Amino acid sequence: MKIKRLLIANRGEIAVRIIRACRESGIAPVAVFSEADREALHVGLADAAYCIGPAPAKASYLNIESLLKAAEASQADAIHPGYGFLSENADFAAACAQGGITFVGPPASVMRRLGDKIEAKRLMEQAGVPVVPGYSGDDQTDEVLLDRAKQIGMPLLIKASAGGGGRGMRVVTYEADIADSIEEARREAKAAFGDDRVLLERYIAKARHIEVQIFGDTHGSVNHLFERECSIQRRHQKIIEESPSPALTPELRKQITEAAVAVGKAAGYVNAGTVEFLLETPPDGPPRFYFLEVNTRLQVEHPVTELLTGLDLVRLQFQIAEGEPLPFTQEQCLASGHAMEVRIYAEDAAVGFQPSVGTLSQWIEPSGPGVRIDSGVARGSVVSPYYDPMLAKLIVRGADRAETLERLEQAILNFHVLGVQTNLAYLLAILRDPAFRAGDLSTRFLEQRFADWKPDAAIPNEVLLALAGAAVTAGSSSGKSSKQGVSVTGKSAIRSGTDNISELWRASDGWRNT
Amino acid sequence: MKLQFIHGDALITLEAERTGDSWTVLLPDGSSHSLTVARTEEDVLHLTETKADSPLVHSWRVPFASAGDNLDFSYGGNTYRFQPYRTRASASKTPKSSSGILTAPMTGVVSEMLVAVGETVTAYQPLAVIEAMKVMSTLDAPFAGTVKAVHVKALQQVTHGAPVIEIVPAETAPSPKTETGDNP
Repeated sequence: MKIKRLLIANRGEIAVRIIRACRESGIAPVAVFSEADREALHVGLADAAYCIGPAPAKASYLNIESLLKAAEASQADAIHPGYGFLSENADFAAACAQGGITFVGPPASVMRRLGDKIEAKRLMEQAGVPVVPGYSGDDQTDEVLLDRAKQIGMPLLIKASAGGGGRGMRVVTYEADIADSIEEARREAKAAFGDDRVLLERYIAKARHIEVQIFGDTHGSVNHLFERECSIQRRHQKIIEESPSPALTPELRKQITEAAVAVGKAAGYVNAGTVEFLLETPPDGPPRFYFLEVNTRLQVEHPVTELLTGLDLVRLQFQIAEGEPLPFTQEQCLASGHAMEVRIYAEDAAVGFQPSVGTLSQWIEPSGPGVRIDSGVARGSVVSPYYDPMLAKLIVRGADRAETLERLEQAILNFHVLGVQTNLAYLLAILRDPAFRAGDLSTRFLEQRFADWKPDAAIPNEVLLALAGAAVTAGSSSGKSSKQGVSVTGKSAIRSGTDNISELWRASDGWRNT
Repeated sequence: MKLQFIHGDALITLEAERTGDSWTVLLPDGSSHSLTVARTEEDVLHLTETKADSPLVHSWRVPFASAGDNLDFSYGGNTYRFQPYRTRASASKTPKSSSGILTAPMTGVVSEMLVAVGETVTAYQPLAVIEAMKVMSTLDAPFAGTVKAVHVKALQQVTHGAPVIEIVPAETAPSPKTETGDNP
């Protein structure tokens, strides 16, 4: 059944991204917004927009009742959850289905099965997919857990079965701490998820994060769209993703993508999903991968796969949700070149990555061959303190990794953001790091190499000369000094910058004393 | 003319003299530059430097913006903030710490206000939680004392540096003992 009108239960760049796919598919996009997002970019781009509540996400973007009301009011026949917020909430998927609305994603039953870590791990073991050695049994008594923990050995990882986002997770280094750590993990899991079951795993200290994009249809087919490496993370937050992974040989790629398809088939997977693996690369042996979990939604980093395969994953999601079979066989899926994404966050890397809130007084995106920007903001946008700090994603494709890095570096140099602090300089420093360039990555890369990173304090002459230029063109003299016929008149809310400078110029007698 | 700016803790002095259509700018490192400047409607500076002994020109663009007193520039993946230097007025208006005024460590929302006016607090006691983009920052009491004022309510937005809570140290609170015997 064709989707006619689709409500996007999200905000920011992903809402903008989905609206674009709607337009291309002839679907009418409906936006929702919180009171803080009334002026947000995605609101103006949709055919209709509904206010779903006050600024805090709990009252708006996480408010199932409010979203369903907006869907009813707008006569939407489908809902796309985006990522984050309610995208992996099985109750939301179920509520949509009950209300006769197509949920663009896997069925609630699949989400529930894969959301439970113990059940998911058992399912994968049955399907012959390698999992991290450990214990994921139903017997949760102290004696059994303690006994199994000792068998697994140190270091040990304790995870909450219902967990996510690092909550209810503990690394144990000394055997004497096992009992206390299990108790802590249980308490945290109980408080956060209302479920105190835990599983035990061997802790893999140095690993790479490799994930495989899969797609399943309602006719039983599951295909993969190759891998993405997302090892560059800061506090479990991915910031750089790429494909192909520099760590995979063709043989290893074949194994890991086949394992991902096996995961999808075992779970009865439908629509877009991502199977995450840890890749352990011991210095004295062959690399080994282990199943980690399935993200039952579209990923932030899906454009990496789009640039590599030429497919539009959001439109593909629509087709699958409409009941169409996958439009390609596994053999027809081809990837070429290299793609890399960096996430641009509103945060101040110079002061502990503190969130940076404000109005974007400048927002200039780069362009060029192979350069794509998925952005949820524009010049003049207000970056509020209520939601995730990601402003945009810069995704670049090149013939190979070297060309991709060259293009990405130039794109960052030509990305200009003022009004909030961003991590652009930090990203640039990572891209220029010799180990990064060599592809020598691990999930602890940033912790090990960039823990004390600070932006370069030196001011280039180009900036000092620009400062002089801004001062001498401020106020009344500005029009005359303007060459090349560039006018300095014009009105817009954001342009007030120029006027402020001339006011400063007049007001401050101190800094102009010649 | 002399142009002076503050960048971080440093004072930066530039000199600019007009020569026909261009400017001669003297930088702090002593180098002299012959420059033409144009500014677009979008506040992007187009700069061109010419050298007497070379036919080559160096051209570059720098987007800028002003925010209050500050001038922000974006160049080469970095941003730079300057403030015009004023000889008379002092730049900072608020006195530095030691007083019992606790200010917001970042712009955000007061997710929790844990104390009320008149309440007695101990040193390091959490008084309020400021939240921005899922990052929590707790305001702790710098010393034991009494809450004198609460400037914001829970769920209200605060900007970086805005006063949130005021406390009076326990020692200055009225007490029966008087050490010096001085009476005002």
